[in-house]
Amino acid sequence: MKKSKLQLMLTLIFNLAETTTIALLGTLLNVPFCYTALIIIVFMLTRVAFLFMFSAKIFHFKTWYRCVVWSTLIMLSLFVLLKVDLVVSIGFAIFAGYIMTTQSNLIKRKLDINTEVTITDVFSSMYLWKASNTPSKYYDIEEYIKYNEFDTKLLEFEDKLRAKSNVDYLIYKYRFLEHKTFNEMKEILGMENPRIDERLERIALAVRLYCGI
Amino acid sequence: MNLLELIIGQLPEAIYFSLFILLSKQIKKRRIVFIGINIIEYLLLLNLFPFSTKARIMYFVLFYLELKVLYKDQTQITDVFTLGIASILMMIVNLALYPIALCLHNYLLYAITTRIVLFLILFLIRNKLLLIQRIYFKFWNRNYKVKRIMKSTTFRSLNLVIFNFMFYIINICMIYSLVRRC
Repeated sequence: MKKSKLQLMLTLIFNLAETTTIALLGTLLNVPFCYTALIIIVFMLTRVAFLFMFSAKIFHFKTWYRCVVWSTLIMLSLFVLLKVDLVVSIGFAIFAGYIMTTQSNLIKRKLDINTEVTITDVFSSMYLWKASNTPSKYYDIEEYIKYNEFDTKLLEFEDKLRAKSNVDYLIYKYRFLEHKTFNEMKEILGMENPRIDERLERIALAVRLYCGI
Repeated sequence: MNLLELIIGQLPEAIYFSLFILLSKQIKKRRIVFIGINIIEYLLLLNLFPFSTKARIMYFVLFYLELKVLYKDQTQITDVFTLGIASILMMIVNLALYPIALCLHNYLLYAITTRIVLFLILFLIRNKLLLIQRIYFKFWNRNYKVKRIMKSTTFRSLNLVIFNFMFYIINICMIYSLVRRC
């Protein structure tokens, strides 16, 4: 949890620094600060809107320097359009926000539906960088399996899980042993994400209780 | 409304954009209807709002909506960027041949030459245009299974930046044309 808070702080500092730099870039282009701020806010809010309205996944850059480069370029192109017209620039900012979400994916399919949208999701959806090593909610189980691969209790648990339900065992195996994503599991198992998530919660609780994690 | 400008200037441009999309998406149905509607909307927009960047933007929007109405499932948001590529190609050809207008002081000859060259290029690359769709299908969506030279996020950002700058350049060209006319 401490690590997660530290990561969030670093992400916050980085994103605020980035926003300030982009705002200054707008000033350099002789664009009124209120317009610069408006474009930045419209872009961010569009992404948040798609997160809430359509449960769309937001695109992030995994590395901070790519985020800096591309955020700057995208914002620069939007500020340059302010020279054409404010309404045009706002329209393009909304379009850019839409393109940077999975709502604009080529083949329309059911997207991952988050069971819960937290304030962290809202914050991270506004910016183009999300720290890739933010621990997941099953971080403790992943760490336990990583360092206790041949633990008797863990092996017993796996045998009992396999005997009880093959599907549950497969979900356990794909998530914790093979580190597959929800989309990959959905394609292999032919199950919807909320169902997988529900079963995964139960499996996680069971492994925590059985192995004393 | 200048009839010569309409027939030699705007009409071929509308046909060029239509053909570019039809060839790149390999569309076989309702082509005449598509080209017809496209010509009408292009001519209307450019003549009702001359030298207006907003008219060009509106054309892109109407173009996409037209595709959506006529070809529902085949239409994707990346078709807007395909139209952008067609525009960029046209801008490059116009710029490359601009010395003709400057040296010979004959804009009619310049207009005819650029249109001929555009259609010639379109004819020569007609079989290669499908590559555009393939590239978009390959790079647009995220895919963790396959390692690619460019990630989806980078590809989308690149498209956005080029698209936005393209309209800024169109705006500059509009202003330049207006100043020259005056």
